Amino acid sequence: MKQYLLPFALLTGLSLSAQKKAIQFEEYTLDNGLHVILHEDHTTPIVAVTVLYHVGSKNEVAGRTGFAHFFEHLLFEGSENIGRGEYMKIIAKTGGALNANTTQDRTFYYEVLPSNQLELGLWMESERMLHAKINVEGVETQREVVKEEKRQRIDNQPYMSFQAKIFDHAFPGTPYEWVPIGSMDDLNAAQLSEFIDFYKKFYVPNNATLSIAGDIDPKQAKKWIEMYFGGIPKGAPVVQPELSIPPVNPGENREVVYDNIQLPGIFMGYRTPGQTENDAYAVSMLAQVLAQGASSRLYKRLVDEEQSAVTVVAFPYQLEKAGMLISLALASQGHSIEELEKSILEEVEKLKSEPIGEREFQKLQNQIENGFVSSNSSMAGIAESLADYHTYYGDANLINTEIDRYRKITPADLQRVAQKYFVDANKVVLEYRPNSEKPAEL
Amino acid sequence: MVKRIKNDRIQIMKNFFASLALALFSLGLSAQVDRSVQPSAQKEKPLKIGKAEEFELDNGLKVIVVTNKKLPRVNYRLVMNRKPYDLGDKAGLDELLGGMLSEGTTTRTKAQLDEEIDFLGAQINVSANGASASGLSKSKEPILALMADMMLRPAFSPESFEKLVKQAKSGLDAEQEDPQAISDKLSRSVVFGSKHPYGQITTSESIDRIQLEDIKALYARNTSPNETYLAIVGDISKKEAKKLVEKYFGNWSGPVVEQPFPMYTGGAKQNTVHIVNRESSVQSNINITHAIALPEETDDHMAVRVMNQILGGGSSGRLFQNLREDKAYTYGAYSDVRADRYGAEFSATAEVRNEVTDSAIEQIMIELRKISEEPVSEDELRLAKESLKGAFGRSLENPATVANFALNVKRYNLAPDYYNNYLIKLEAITAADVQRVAKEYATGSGLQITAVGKARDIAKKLERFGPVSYYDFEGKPTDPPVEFPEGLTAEKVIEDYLLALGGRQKLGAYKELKLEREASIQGFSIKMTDAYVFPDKAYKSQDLGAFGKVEMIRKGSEYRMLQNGEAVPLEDADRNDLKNQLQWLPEMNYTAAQLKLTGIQEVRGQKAYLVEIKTGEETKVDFFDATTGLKLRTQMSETGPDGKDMVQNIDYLDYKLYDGLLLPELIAVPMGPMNAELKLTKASVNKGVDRKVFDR
Repeated sequence: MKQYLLPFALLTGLSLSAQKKAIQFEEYTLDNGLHVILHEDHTTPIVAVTVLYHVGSKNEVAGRTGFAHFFEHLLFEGSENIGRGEYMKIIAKTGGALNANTTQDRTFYYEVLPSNQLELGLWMESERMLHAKINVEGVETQREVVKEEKRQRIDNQPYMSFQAKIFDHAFPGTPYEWVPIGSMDDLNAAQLSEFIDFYKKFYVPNNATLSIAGDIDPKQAKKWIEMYFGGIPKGAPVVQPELSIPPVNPGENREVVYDNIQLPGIFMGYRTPGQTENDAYAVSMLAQVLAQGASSRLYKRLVDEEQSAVTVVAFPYQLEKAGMLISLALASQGHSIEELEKSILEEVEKLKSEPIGEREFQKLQNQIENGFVSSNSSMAGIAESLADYHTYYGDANLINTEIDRYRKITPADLQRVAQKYFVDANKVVLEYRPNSEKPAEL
Repeated sequence: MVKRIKNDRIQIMKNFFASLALALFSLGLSAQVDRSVQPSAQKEKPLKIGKAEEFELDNGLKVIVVTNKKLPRVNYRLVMNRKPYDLGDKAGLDELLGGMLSEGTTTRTKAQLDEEIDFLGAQINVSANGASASGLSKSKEPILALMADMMLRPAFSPESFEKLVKQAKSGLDAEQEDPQAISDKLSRSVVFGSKHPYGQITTSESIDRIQLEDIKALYARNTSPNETYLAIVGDISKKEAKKLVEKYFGNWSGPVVEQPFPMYTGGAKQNTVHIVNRESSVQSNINITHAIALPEETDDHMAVRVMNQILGGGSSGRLFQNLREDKAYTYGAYSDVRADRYGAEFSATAEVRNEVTDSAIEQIMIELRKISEEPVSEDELRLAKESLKGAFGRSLENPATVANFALNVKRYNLAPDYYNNYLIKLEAITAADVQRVAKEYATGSGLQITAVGKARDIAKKLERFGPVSYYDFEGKPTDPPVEFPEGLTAEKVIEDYLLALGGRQKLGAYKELKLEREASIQGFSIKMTDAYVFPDKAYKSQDLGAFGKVEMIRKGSEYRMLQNGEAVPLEDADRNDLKNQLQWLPEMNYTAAQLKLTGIQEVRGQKAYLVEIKTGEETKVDFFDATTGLKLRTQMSETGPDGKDMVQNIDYLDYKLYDGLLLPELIAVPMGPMNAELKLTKASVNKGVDRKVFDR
């Protein structure tokens, strides 16, 4: 029997190795509502300790834009037991790396540590959750730092005002109207007491996911998690805002922006559904058709054939409650925004009028498979994906099964989704023109 | 004994109640955690550095294989170990060659190539000095086949070349406004200079000098298995790798590559300041940098890493802690030391708001001085070592790291056990080592302090750091930028001029005007007459006596020109020229799009604003007195027969009132060594125009 079994086992082994191995994990919820996800992998003696708080700029109120991100900066200032300026040093001293980022929907903190420092990482994150120190000194320092971040990333960069503008036009009257960096005026206005209220409201275990991946002993890890996080008091339930998105008013969805640029550029956005919807997967595939790889429709046409653009990009900017397909192109010397826009629109129309061919559809599948295999190649990436999938979809196992959601999409779905969402009532256009073309104000 | 037992029981009871109370009142805040104590580390696990296997093809191509089956992926990286190219005045040639390698092969058009790569879901990038490719391991063969085809059989089509040249120039246009790109060009240019390949900056002009033949020539002398490595990482065995590499690179042949370039160690002896003025900047991109002698294999490399970590290696570095966490000048401040046998450099960088640019530079200089003058504390040394050790450990998560280690050992002649001994060597670094290398590599003999920002706001305050020079966005030296008063525009200068003459309303109300001027040059007399009946009649004559007479006439929409009384046939261009010449005050009709404020200069001891005026194809510059607003000079330049620009000035002097109208009494036209001076002999305002002249 064994002799017959062996080649069979080899065969199945081979066919398995051609697939991505499933990412094993376990998850549970503490009494205080903190959701915990653990993934064990002993390949390298490191561990990623991450906490996702389900709060982002969409939980802000008008007049306090940029608040959630500003707050993220404050949470490196220290705690009851960690002195000011020590947070980063303690992690550095263990040989770890740390950072955080804030989106419209969530704030994410992480440390990647040598695996023998897991307990330290848990202590640090629990200190942050239980009793972070928020004082005037920290607020005033980080206020200036955040303003420098805004200047460096946006105000001093050509074209970069497009994010704020495109969201402003696409989602008026909703918290997606502004972007996480916020406005200078609002950053200046934020008060210490408001930060303390924000902390009490959103930084509670029942609004957080602790996701850990790497070289861990799950039994020991759970013991420490209970020890450091178990006693953190539960907060009031956090209610996420419901967005009702009014249609864009046709005729008012276009802005001409004069900027410090040489090459004119066009930025076009179509509003699309929130990321958990099936149609969002189709939108993401349509973005691939348009601009993933040099053989994609827009790249081939604008950059190689018409040579009217130096670069063209299309990407799905997908958020929890809504999204946008953003296409952008920068004109080559001697070419105009009008040419670019005409070609992009023709390609968008083609998505609506003709189903995509068999070989092109297969190409999408292959690109998706490659992306799926390549994603989650690091412990930090796995921890983050698990937390995201749990928070937005309520299903951390999508880390293994999300590809099936793509595979369910048919060419007919793609055409239907293009017809449904890529319409004028959903459209925002920004024309970026050089300052030198600005009409004179005499 | 009994007593003791009882006591123990009481003790137990007390503990029970205590923990119960704690549990009740602190809502389960786990009693056994002492939060005030930082948890200590568990037993350290040793780092395992994976194994790299190697083989060499007959043609000399050296192959490194790291088998890692964790994910069904494969990654290829081809590295041609080449010295930097001295491209002379053809900077950008290597980048264009890289681009041409993605433009199709002798067997595949670009469209076919792109389609095949995308269909595999793969990525392939090629450059002049190598290539990288990645994708699913089930496609390991077609991916390598495509990469080899691109590298070894490029099509080099003229159409692609033309396209890439156009794209490159558009790309350079875009970079003009990118402060980081400008800062990189500036520092490369001032640190290495145009004689060194690293200081050769790609410009539109350098791109225009490149021919397709240059690209083919560079390809021919550069592309070779000699001194070339292929690193393969992923779900692939050495045996499979060998078979594939033999198949696709076995027949590759090429020349023996040239010998290395001499090491560049810089030459600056004093600190200098270099500024690119970017009027729209709300931040300054600061880079304090200089060239150092630090080849990759030097023993000092490890101490330099530790020094850099302490100074500016990350968020716990001194620069970050000082400039961001303490002073809030910036979002981040870092230092970097790049080892490179052909030209290594130290740099300390930060982007800071305009008003603290000098203070930020000051603080960076203080930190540089401090780290080279005082030993670092044991605590900082420990922190830096642990950070570097941690980074080394984390890097091993990526299977490509092991291949890179093997590659580095070969490329830079490192000791074979360099990476196995990495942590031991790191541990051995002392505070004295750090101070020594800081002195040698961080402070150095002459720092180049570069800043891209709004010169008007920052430049003055940077003078204390060293002599200041200015550059354009491509790192070429330029004049210092002109500082115009706040709010001044070309339109305002023109309005001020019209105001000085009496204002638009008054000027527009004149009915007629006649001006007669005379000059005498070497005994010849010249008479000029200008006559206007507003709004649409004008007459100008230049009477050079024996040399003849020229008359220009406008009557309504009709334009004529007479030479010695005979009508001259006019073409459209001539008619446009006449239209311009027959205006009394063209300033009344300028549009903002025609005007540009270009400078401040002295004219005859008066400060003047320069306004460039475009009319159709013609461009002239008018100079206006900054105080009185009056026009002092008109400057036109033309390309002379020898190809050089010839500048022609017309100066306006001695403004006087004639019937309430301000006019220059003298118009001076420098002609070679002498001036032709036209004197206003008679000005008739609102009278004296003989209507007959318009019918000549």
